[in-house]
Amino acid sequence: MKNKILYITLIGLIFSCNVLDQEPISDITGDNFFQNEGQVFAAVSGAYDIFQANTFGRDFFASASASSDESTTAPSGGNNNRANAHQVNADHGPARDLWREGYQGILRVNDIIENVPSVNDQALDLDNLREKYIAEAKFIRGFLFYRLSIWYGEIPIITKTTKSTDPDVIFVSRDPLPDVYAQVISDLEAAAEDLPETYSSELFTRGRATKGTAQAVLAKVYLRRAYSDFSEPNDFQQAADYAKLVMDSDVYELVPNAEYASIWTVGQQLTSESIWELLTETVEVNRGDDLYREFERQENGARARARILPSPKLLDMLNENPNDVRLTMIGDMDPDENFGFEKYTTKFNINGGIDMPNQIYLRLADIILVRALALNELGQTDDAIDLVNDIRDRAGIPDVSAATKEEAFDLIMNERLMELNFEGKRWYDLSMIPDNNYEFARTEFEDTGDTRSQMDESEVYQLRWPINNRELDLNTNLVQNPGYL
Amino acid sequence: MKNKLLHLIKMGMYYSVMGFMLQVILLQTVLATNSSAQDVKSVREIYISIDLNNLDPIQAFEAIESKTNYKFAYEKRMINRSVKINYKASNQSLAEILTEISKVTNLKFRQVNNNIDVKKINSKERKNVERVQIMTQTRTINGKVTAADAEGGLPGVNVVEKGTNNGTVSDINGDYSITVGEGATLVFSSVGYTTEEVVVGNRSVIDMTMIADIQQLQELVVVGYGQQTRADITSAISTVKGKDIDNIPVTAVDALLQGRAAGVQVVQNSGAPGAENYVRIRGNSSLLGQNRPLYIVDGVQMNNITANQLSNGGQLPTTTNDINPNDIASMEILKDAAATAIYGARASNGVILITTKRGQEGATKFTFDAYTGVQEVWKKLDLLNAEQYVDLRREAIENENALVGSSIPVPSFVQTTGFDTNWQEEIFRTAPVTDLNFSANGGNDKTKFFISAGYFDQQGTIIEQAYDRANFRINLDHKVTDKVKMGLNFTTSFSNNDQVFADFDTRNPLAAALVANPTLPVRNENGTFAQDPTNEVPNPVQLAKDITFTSKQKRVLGNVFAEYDILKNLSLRTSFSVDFLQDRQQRFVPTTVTGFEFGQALGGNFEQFLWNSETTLTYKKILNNKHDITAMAGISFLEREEYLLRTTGNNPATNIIPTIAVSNFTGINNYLTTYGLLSYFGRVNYTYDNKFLLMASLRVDGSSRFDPDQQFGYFPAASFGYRISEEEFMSGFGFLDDLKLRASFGITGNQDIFTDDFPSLARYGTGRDYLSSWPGIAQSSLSNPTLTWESTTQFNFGLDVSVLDSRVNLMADVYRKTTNDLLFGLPMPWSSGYSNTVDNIGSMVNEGLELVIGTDNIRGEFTWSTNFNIAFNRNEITSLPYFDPENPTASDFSQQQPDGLGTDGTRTVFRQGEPFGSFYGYKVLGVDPATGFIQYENVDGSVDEDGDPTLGISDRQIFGNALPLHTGGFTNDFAYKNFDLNIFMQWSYGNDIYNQTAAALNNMTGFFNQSANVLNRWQQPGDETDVPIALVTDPTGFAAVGANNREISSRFLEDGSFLRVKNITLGYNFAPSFLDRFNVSSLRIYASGRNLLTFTDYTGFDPESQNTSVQTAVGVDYLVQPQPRTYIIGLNLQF
Repeated sequence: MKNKILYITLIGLIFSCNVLDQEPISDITGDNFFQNEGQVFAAVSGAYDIFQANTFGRDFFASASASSDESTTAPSGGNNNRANAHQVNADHGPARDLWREGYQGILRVNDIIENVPSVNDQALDLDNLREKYIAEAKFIRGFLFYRLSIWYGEIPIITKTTKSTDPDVIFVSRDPLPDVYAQVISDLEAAAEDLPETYSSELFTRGRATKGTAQAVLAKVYLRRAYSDFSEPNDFQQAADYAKLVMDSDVYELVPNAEYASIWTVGQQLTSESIWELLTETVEVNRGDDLYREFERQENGARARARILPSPKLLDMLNENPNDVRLTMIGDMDPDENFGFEKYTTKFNINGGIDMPNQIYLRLADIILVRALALNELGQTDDAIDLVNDIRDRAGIPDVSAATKEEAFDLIMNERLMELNFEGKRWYDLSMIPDNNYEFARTEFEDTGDTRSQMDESEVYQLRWPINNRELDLNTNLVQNPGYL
Repeated sequence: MKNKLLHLIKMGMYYSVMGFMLQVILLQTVLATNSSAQDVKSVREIYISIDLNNLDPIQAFEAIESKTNYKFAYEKRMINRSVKINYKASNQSLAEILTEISKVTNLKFRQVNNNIDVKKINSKERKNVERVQIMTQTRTINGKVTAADAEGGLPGVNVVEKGTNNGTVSDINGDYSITVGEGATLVFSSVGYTTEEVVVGNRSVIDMTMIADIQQLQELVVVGYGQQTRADITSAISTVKGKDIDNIPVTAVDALLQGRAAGVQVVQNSGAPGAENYVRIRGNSSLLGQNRPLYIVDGVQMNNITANQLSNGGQLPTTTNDINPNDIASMEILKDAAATAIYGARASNGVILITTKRGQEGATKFTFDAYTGVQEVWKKLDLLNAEQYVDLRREAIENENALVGSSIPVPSFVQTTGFDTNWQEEIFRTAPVTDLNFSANGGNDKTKFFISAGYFDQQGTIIEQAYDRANFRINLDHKVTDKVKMGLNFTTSFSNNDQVFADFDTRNPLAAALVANPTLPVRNENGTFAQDPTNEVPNPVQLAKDITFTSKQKRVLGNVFAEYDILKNLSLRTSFSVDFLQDRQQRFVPTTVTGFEFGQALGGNFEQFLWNSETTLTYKKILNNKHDITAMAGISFLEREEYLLRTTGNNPATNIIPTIAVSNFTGINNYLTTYGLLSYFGRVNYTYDNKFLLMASLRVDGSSRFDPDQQFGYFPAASFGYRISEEEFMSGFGFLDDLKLRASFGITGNQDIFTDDFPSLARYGTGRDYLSSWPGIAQSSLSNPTLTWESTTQFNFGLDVSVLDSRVNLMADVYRKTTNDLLFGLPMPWSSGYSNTVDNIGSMVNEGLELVIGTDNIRGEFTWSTNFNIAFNRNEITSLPYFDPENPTASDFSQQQPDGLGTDGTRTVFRQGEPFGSFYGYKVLGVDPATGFIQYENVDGSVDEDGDPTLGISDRQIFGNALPLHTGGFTNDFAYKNFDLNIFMQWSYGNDIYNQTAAALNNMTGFFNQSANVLNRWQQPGDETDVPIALVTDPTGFAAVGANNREISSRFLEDGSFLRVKNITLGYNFAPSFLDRFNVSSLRIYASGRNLLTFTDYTGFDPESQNTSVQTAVGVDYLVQPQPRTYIIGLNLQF
């Protein structure tokens, strides 16, 4: 008996060995990733995923809309109210999240750019697949830097993944805007070089970066730089040229008037007009800050809050032509002012309100008007007005004409406001023209019809967002944007 | 308030000491009276005439006493006073009269000199009883009582003639004198000494030397991997006995420790059945790592954290619920490092050893315990009624339109409707609680057993909340041979927790009830639930009734063990333990709930399996009766696996079937992870002559959680004790029973960082999908191969004093705990792509003083004992990364709680030089009578041209702290005859609470209902108040630059001090003589009340309420369900 106890104990001890030898089962580690083409494909999917971050989508669309003169906000508008009244502070949630998620995306693409060249898988060598993946990553990086620089101004350029906690590495400084634009252009041009014009499916052609996508963003980047105080001599020409490349491509064409709504309608999207739309499958229901919830009119369901409403200015502009197809994208004007924006709602949706339309990041109408602006600045006002009239024809409203460059500029800008309303473009347009301490933006705000959103000279600092306090506290190399306490 | 509390505490101390003094004085007189031996005549020789007309026995005795010199001695409760005596005697002998009385009353009499002893005639003697016994042949005995352990006579010893009530007490010199009958036996007894019996024989002088009964010092204390007597303990260990925590209506074992042990802070944060309690031993020793203590149940490590519990919004359920409190024999709380270091890398937060009851040799004893009662919320918040609500909402819109020129319309629903719903009344209820427990124990010299079955059923004070649990236990000990023992401890438990959402969740019925519009009815005329027109607040009653949210847990916890005495001094013990927990989770939100038109379904299964094999060798030897050596060495293997499978879905085809099966799947989560711990440990105890006590131990732990180069950690400890009272030179201090000095040092570790088993690896996370058909993977954490344990070094100095027959026991400890290599989420700038990475950074110090005083204030027929404990702990974060002495706030780390209902989430901030638990935000100066705006303090005093503070985010400052200055408990036990009364009080002093509920109910924005406090709001210039102007959206910047009425600020900070009468129990023990008839050995019935009185200035529901969802945030009360007040009645039956 006694010996039995000893034996049992001994067997127990032997049986127990190796408890220290544990491997992660549910996790992928740095050692076992980036081994083959399939994993690279997964990493690229992970890079696009950053645009699906709830806050990211919200900030690109909702915050931009709420901040600009195309909207007013409902009383329960929360963060949108702050944006609308130009009272964003350094603790503003959307300003915090956009920075954080933007750089999270940059980490993901830097990881791809660093690792993909050395992945040992022959599948990557077929059809320049390796270069195409890297080009996609570079496109996303260029696009993120571009958007971040619009919101925050000078930003740190980070082109390597973070590998340690070394203060010299992680406490970065802001880089001057010319350097940021140089990086953006370099990334996008490299991407435009290697990206395919189309993919094997329409889903991917519209949903992933293509040559046309990179060229379209380049047109916008050159245009923005052309208006800045660090512009290069050929910027307007470059903007016009890149826009032309997109317009001339066989891939893109304006949808006809009758099909205008299809651009935003579930099941009909991936239209010929679409250059890049963020693919969205189902709504992540029950989140308080879903994009569509901000815009959806209340009769569409209890979930809808209609927090962002069209401004009287926008409604007046569109109502000048009651046949304007773009009015159909704004809900009925009933006495309770219960508006909604069909671009984000489920009106056209067939799956009981679960499916959400893809978000339209870039479409041809935008690029046509970018070219119009560039041509006008290059002195080709008539050509520019022709492009505006192309857009108006499609909208089903009469042509316009302009006697002067200034008149044409106003027409193009108004057309952009009407055509691209609530697509997150207007706020960027307002801050694109920095002349005379943003005189253009301040003037535009004056007739918005919403007294809260008027902007005096001391408030133009709000055209840029603040860097969140946590980031500033942690990284003393960063300096807050002027105006923010 | 603080002063009031202090006063109360002081008074309590004062009365205990006074009681004790009083008792010492009274001791000489309260017991038996001396009787005179002169002039003794037999009752047969005394003839009297007396008319006993319808007298009860006692009246009869008094009547006889008035006519004679005799004194009757009896216990009142023995006498049945309903028996009436009708007897008329004329010149009869007293013996005859007594015989007659005896026949009627069933009493017998025994004359000892002039005393007549009255006793009951028991059933066995009925036939042949000697009704009147006479013992006048007496002798007087004199003598002196001394104590073996002290010089001089021993006063206060009871000297009683056995079998009679005849007795006396030794005087101040220890002398006594007593007259007894022939053949008597004397019984000497005194508390603290062993009772002695002496047959008198023909002696007339009997001196007695009493031997101290050092039972209390000999009490066994469970320590890590062993047991020691209290006298030999050299570390800081608190013991809570099972009997002290019996029959208290709480769900979890932790709650029973509240206020019972110095230095153990237990906060019952929530009144939701099954919710976790906040337990901290000697403060927080980790910032982001685990701060919960380690629980060991009969040697089995228990998983007390359920990492993958379904979140209900703020409160974590606890798995310590699975231990049946009725099974517990004792709980030992190991506090200093000398006690805990034997548990090495898991011991930094202290260790709680739970020992369950075992079988005793002898006939099988059965125990049945039951209680039942009701619970109710003892306080409701005062909210606006319908009319006041409408007034406020209109005013807020008007104010804002006037101020900013907006034209916000008054919504059509802002009007009185004839309804005035008190939503709190609709969701709170009086809820029953019942506990039934049955156990049996017994055995012979070979096999002993303890088995129990229990059922606990508790409904929550919010409608639809319910928790019930069934427990079963078997503890078995079997002696195979003289040298081999085997046994098992096993418990299994099945619980069912029907929850409602809590705290931060928008589906929390309590939250909804506080802010719901009072003009709405509960239900529409057609019976459906009324919905809020703003879509912001779901119907509170519907939230409770229509949402399914259950967690069903099954638990098996236990071990088998064998012991083998290899040699006389050497024994081997091996055990194999398991802890298995399965939690099946089900959640369903129907499409009819506001905000959830798509519905929501969730089904999950979570499992934790832990096994542990431990083998120890123990060597014991006593040399020359002076050197006592015990050495132990052991090895332990432990492995834990966690598994989760959870699916979520929405858009259910029907609301009738509340499972995931009829929904569209939206997500599947499957998680499997393991970790292992390999340990070697050893300990040596050496005692010299019971005077010098030495202990040294070492544990070497290897954890799979770290990189192979960092896997092993060394955790040494040593302690020293000196029992001064054992010294020769102390022999003059007879009142001193024990005086011991203790000192200890040790290092312990903490390996529980977050909930992750591979913290040092760079990992890529799945689920970053662009399309479901195109799964995405992205980097989620940075690697850190140098990651290792948090280590805590602790020094402890203690003093144990026991004086005056153990009437006063004092235990004092001071300690200093320094945690280095704090495991912390090192914040990374977001520009790096990460938010943080786990690293060993920073250090923190806890130091404190603990005092426990136990006194027996009154002994005797009426007893009163007191236990008082108080603990002071000071915490300071002494080092954090990126610290810049020029700018001490720059290295602040803050974490935000979730927000909701128009409030901002509170921030806790970690700052070097400040304690854990600091609240961070704006300081409020008041409300400007001219404008109604809140004036916030500017950190540097700067003002703008109007003289207003130029407030910015950098003006936020630390405005309070959640840690108490001291906490404690105060227990008073009284017993008189068959009654016992326990009064238990508990307090916390000097802690702040951030009342975020008040922030939600006082910000006046939106269309939520508000606290009645806003009736004091500023309404016109000149109003002096602390409630600002009502504004419907309250845009940032109106009240002050960059701040509004909703800001996290000192406006919502409150003093959280409280003194609580936690428990009062009144019990009645039936007399054994009564129970004999039913073959019952003991029966006690009792009534008990919990949370009966609370003295506090806190305006929220309950000063103990706090959220637990964010580990770093303590002392925040946001819509936490308050603890109930509970009344129960119960019984304990043994047969």
